Amino acid sequence: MTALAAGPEAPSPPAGRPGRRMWRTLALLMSVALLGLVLVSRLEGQPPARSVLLDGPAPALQGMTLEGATFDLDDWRGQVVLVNVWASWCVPCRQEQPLLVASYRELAPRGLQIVGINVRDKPQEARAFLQEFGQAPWPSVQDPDGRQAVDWGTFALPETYLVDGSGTVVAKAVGELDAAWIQQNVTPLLPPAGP
Amino acid sequence: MSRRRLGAALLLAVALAVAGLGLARAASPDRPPTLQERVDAVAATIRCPTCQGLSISDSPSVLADGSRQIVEQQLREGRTPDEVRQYFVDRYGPSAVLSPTPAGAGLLAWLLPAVALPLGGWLGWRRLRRRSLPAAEGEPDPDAAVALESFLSDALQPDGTPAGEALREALLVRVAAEEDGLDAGARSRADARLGAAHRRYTRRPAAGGRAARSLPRRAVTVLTVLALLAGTGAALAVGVRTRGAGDLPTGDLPGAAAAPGLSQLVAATRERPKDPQGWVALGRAYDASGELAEALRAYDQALTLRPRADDVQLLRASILVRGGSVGEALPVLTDLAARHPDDPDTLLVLGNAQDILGRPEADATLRRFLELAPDAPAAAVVRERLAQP
Repeated sequence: MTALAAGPEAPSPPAGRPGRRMWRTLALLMSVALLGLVLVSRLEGQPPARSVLLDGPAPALQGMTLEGATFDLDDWRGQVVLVNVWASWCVPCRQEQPLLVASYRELAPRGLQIVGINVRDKPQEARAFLQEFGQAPWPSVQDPDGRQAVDWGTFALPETYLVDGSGTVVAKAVGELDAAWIQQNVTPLLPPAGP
Repeated sequence: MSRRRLGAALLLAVALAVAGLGLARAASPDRPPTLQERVDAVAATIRCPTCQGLSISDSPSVLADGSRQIVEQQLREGRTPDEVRQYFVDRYGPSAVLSPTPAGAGLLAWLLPAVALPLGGWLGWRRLRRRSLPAAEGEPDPDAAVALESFLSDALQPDGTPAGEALREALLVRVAAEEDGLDAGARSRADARLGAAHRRYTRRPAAGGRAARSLPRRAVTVLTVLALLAGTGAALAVGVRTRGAGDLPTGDLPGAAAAPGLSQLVAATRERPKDPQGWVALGRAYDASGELAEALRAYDQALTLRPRADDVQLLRASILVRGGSVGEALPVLTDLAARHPDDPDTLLVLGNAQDILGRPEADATLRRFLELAPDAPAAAVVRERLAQP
């Protein structure tokens, strides 16, 4: 602790008002917290389940189906529609397909419609996939390059969007569908089962 | 001195001129950027939907390619890069663009450096200036004089606390400055330091003060570390949650390399819009990648340039058949088959169309196709079909 050794690290000049250090501390803390917030918000990205399309008008869906017919979602205006984004190479799609078929059998009589968007698939493989599950009775629009899926804000397969009668996207399911999601979101939109 | 200054000014002027020229050249290159370059530029600013932090031009994932094609199509249709980016923001939220939009939390990312840099610079400058200020003023610090006097008369005995140690050190520095006969600047700096140390030493609370004084700094360190750890933890947790069940099937895809050279073909039709062959090539490429509507449009273009091109008519009709408009295709195909009765391709498409429409002549047409091209790739399927009742 010699006198000369202290040169470069000389303590700061008069600290001024007593509360000053407190303010500095606060400012430092605030900036660290802000930085953390910014970092978190940048890293976090958009949580996929919360689509920006929710509560907005459904994007257009027109194209050729796997059977070669033309399809336009607008023709189904007024009906409750499940838009299911899928592909034969997608494993969770395979797992959810039986549930989709069962739901359609149960709810189509009450007015439910389903349309698939078949993403980056070979039509013959897609048809073989459907046949495996007893031939889905709903159409699937071919989307060989994934443009339709991007139009719907799809992050990954499978995703399912629920469009109500007014053409509004009211719910979105990310990943494999489960029966509870159908119960909670789809069933309430449909009229009660007939006698 | 003035010559040196002139030289420096000249050098600065030259440097500025060169920089300005470079900027001007970079801003307006000799040729306008090609569509491909514009697509690349926009695609590089859009985040790939399935992979965090990559742009769609860097990502090999399922939907990145479709996103790229959307960028290309929209730019071709004359939309501005900002409009294209907005399209993605409308579907994927603000995080769809890689650089944050200047609104909300994104505004902070833009403003923070702009505010922090000048602020830091100003604080640093003020600190440096203040350190050299007493030397300039030459005013002796009254506190320093009092402290030195009582130290020399043994009335002041700094204790072992950090403030006491600092004061003792400042006193020794001040005494040494006096003894070494240093210049007035060094002495007044030592004065300033001594005055500050003395004020800090005398102002602190007498009992338990040490703990109270040293707490904030330690608390700041601990809290900063905690905040950083918490932030990192939260970010990681959110990141892990974001990669949920939906992210499974990314990887090798059948047909992932869609239509190589499509964009070059589009560029070619732009350069030579009067060349029917270019349009035909583009139509075939679209056809191969499954974009039947686009293919149809390209073939139509070719046909307006060369209406009597039977090969293009056939290509167009085959798309109509696959697209479900068999009724529209049939008269064209019948006409083509009448003019080219020995062309197996025409017979195959015509036979398929007749078959779809349930016409009885389908079998004959397909049999004729088999006679002409028994080894064609489609022959096996046709035989199978004919074997059915």
